[in-house]
Amino acid sequence: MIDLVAHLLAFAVGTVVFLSAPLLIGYLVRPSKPGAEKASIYECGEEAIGSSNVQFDLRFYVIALLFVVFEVEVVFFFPWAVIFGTTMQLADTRLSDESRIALSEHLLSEPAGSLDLERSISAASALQLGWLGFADLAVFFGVLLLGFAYLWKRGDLEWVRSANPERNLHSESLAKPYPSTVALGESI
Amino acid sequence: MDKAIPEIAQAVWLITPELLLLGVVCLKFFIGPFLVSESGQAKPGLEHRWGSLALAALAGAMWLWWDQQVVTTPTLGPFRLDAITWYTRGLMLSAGFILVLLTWSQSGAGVAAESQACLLAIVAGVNLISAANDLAMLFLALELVSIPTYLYLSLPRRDELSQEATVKYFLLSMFSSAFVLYGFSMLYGATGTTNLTAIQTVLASSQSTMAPPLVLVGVVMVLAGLSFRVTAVPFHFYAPDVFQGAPVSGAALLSFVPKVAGFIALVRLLPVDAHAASAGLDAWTMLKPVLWWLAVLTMFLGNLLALIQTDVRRLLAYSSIAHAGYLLVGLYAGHEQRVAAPDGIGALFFYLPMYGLMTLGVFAVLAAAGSLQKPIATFEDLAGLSRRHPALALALLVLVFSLMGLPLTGGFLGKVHLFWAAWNLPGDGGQSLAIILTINAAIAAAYYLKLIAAAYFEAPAPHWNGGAVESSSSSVPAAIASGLCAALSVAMFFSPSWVWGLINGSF
Repeated sequence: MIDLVAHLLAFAVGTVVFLSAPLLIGYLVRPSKPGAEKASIYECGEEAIGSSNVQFDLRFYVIALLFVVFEVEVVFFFPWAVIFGTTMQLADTRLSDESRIALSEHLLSEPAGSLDLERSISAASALQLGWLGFADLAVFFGVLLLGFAYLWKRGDLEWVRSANPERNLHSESLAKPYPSTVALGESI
Repeated sequence: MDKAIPEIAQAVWLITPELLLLGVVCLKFFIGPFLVSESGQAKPGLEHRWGSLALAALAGAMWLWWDQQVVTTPTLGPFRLDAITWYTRGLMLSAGFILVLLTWSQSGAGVAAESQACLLAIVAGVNLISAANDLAMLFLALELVSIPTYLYLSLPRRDELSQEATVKYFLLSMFSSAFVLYGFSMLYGATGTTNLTAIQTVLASSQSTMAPPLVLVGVVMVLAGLSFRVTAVPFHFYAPDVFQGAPVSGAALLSFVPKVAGFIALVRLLPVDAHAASAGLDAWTMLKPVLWWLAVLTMFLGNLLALIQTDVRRLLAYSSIAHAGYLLVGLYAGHEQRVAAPDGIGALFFYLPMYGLMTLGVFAVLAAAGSLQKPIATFEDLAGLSRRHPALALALLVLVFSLMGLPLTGGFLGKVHLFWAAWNLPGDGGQSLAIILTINAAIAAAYYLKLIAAAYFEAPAPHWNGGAVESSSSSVPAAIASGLCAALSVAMFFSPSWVWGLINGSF
């Protein structure tokens, strides 16, 4: 424990020292010549035009949200796939006892050599766990596809159509135009 | 491990009512968009089909619920089905019927499918809160209540007030969820497990007499986050603005459902049973003053600010804050085996359905008397209701009497039980709290009587005379809901044993 804390402390101190030393040396050595050109915004060599505080088109956010949905889905799939693979190996009745124990230790995050055959996962249990995991993921993916179908049918995936003012629900009850009706030219 | 896998696999049979509800939710979201035109318009009358389907789904869930057997053995699976779960399910499914009727009259044909689907998801979410046996599952269930609520608030109307209300609720609700999650991570860090049964075992077997500081910090965080849901002062700021801007059905939902969700989660997480665990006992003694002040501040602030309101919906928002204070009295009293039944938690569980009937009923009257585009906003809009809609005015009278806690209504019995639960506590804290409860019930009478006076003794405002709001077909379900609530409020006074049977069957 003390060893670990000492390591962390050494790294923390090292980080601060190695970052601040070049800055300090630079501050002492470099000439000081401030100017308007130096203080201007640098954007990859392009001239900066106007303020960056502009309203972005809401459609960007819709697309970004959709992207996140599918990205998160993949993030959920990976750990599931790893465990599902191990489970399916365990469900094989021809598996040798040594491999069964090793795989069980791997799946349960137990230290090597801590399990015996009694306490490792039997083929029948592994098969049950596999089916359960498969059903879980099928439901998860089904609900996700349902959301996708909903969006698709409502036309939220079509870039041009979602700019059409008639897309609004209850257009008769609108006090003000819905923000997504910003015309194409008005926003970035 | 060979024992745990079947336990996890079998857990799905503990939540069959919720699975049915969520299946119908999926169906609605899948078919909904196919029945509306490209511009979001639908044939008038579509809302009747979606409303009927929602009622059928609730009836099916109710049938599944009634058949379920309570399992008392502690489990390590993700769900449990104990007495509290069983009771909450019955409560929420019944409240669901009234809320479906309210939604029916408040959402147009174009958004009926989504509104009813969100409502069913919210009901399933509250049920899952009571069924959760794991911190992760509990948090997911809390979010299953919150996220459809944002949609539910924003769907019926798209004007500026409604949008402001929705965004306000959305941001503050996320903020409170972060608090809850932070508290959960502390509890996990202190005990090394997310299973609620295992957490209790770990805390009970701890050697020290003091609760670990990490547990205390975690419990206080959870209390703060859930206080937002039950609108306890000082986490109540959003309520009046959101109630005013949201459609009537949304305000009705917010006045009841988050309170059930919050109190059930608190009963699950706080060590309310003073004799259970040594470490729990210490945490409980340290939490008691916090709960006492929460209850007192919530009652006084809600009732005093309600006195100066001119908007009916803001008044009801402050009234719902005050009622959160009354419910906190029950939570403060907790489980107390030394006194005769009912104890604080029993009184809390009895007050929840009483409060649900009266608050949902009053909002149903508002929904039936106004319309979606022209809701009842001020006392002037309510003026002369007895001449325009005598039946609705009578329902309002009964329900407001119940809110005041007058005899011949269920609200009276609810307050009496809370009073005795607090009064019988050992020590001064309980008795002073009981007296403060009585004082507040008296203050509340002043503003509730203003509602009655407006409805019965004032002439209708001129703009309501021209027959502008005739009882259209869309207000019929809300009128049915208000009548149902008023009748049940009176019935509960004469046969409270029916609710007590459900609660005691569960204790």
